[in-house]
Amino acid sequence: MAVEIGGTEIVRAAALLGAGFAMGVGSIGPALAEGFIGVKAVEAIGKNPGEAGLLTRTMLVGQAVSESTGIYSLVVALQLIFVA
Amino acid sequence: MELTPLVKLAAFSGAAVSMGLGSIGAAIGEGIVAAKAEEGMVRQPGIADEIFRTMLVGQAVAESTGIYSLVVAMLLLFQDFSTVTLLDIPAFLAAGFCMGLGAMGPGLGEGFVAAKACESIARNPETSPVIIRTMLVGQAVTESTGVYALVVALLLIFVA
Amino acid sequence: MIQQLVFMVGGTKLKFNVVTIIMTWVVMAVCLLFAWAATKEAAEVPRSWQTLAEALYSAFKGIVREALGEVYGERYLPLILALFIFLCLCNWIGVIPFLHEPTKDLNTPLCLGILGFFIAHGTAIKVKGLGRYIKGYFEPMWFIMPLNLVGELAKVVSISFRLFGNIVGGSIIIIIVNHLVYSLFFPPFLNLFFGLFVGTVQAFVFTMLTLVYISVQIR
Repeated sequence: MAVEIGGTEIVRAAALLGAGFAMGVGSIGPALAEGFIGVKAVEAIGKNPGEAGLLTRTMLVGQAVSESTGIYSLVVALQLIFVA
Repeated sequence: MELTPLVKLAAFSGAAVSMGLGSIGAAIGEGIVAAKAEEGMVRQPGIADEIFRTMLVGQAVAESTGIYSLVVAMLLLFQDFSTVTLLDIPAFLAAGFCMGLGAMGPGLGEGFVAAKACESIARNPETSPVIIRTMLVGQAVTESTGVYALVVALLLIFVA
Repeated sequence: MIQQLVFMVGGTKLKFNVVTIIMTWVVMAVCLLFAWAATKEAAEVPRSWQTLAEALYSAFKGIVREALGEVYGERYLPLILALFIFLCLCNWIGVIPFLHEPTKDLNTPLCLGILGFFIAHGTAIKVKGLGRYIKGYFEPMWFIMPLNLVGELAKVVSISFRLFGNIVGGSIIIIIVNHLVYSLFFPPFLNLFFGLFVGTVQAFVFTMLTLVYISVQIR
């Protein structure tokens, strides 16, 4: 069967590829950063177990902030899939 | 030109990319965990069992993004290729790259956390329950971008 | 995988995921059964089911008190413990053949995530007062407000997608490996790993995150 490739197909294909790369590349940074935060939190709790509650809270708040770029990647990827 | 071989090419290379890139992060991360666990066992041979258990739990959680890569690769390999469209080609390629690249960061990050947990337990064994708890929570949050990559990859395969 | 029942009520479509609903009922029945068995013969020296329930209670009591303090810890302990038991049973039920995890449907985790969101913010308004609660969004600087809002909503998305993604990933792997090896050898072990280990870890993580979201809001 013959395949017709027009402008709309190219745009749609580019959007799908872009969605994949946006989420793929965009998840490397936040994940590494969150990992570093987790490392320091675990180390600090090992040194000072009495402050475990405060340290866990701080860790989660910091990770939530680091994750926001990952969320933006997700939003962009979903828009590229469903809207573009 | 026939469409099916092209779609198969895209799906198979997507599967290869997903599994190939996706295993880098998990493998390095788990290796770091094992290294730190051995260091801790040398320092504190008395609690080797405890460190070994922590290592296994940490590695099992660090491996989950590698498992997601496997899920995406399997889905791409065992697609139903009888009804394919032109747009499946970019979608399958993008799904592979999305999950492959997306699994690198979480695997590494979770590995770092588990490694530090093993080290901390070796240094201060009586805090191990609270350290394991913090490790699991921290790893789970680190994994969330990997889960987003899985969701986007599944959407690319099934919806787009 | 998920059969839907569609009703038309006055022009709007109501869709029900029958399998999810039935499986949730099964889990609820098991929860009630556990509660009944644990309290049936409440004794000074606990036996079988009561031991398990008391062990769970005392383990969670320490965690919840540490995170929320004395007063609120006592108030939210039943919620946190019930959430953990419910999610554990939800994730374990897939180990039994022909039964599906309710958490495999995004609606269940999303609904529990939204529940946690409203509880956390309701508590915040009650504890801090509406003015200080709203002012919290404009800290540390006023133009950070949209980021804070997105951050709060992202918590719901991330907590529910994490549970959903883990359970779905596990069940897809089990289905595909079943298909490849003709249900010979690996599936039972995979089932145990994904159903019991990953299921328990994810249930614990979901519960802990809900607890921490509440504690971030009231401090």
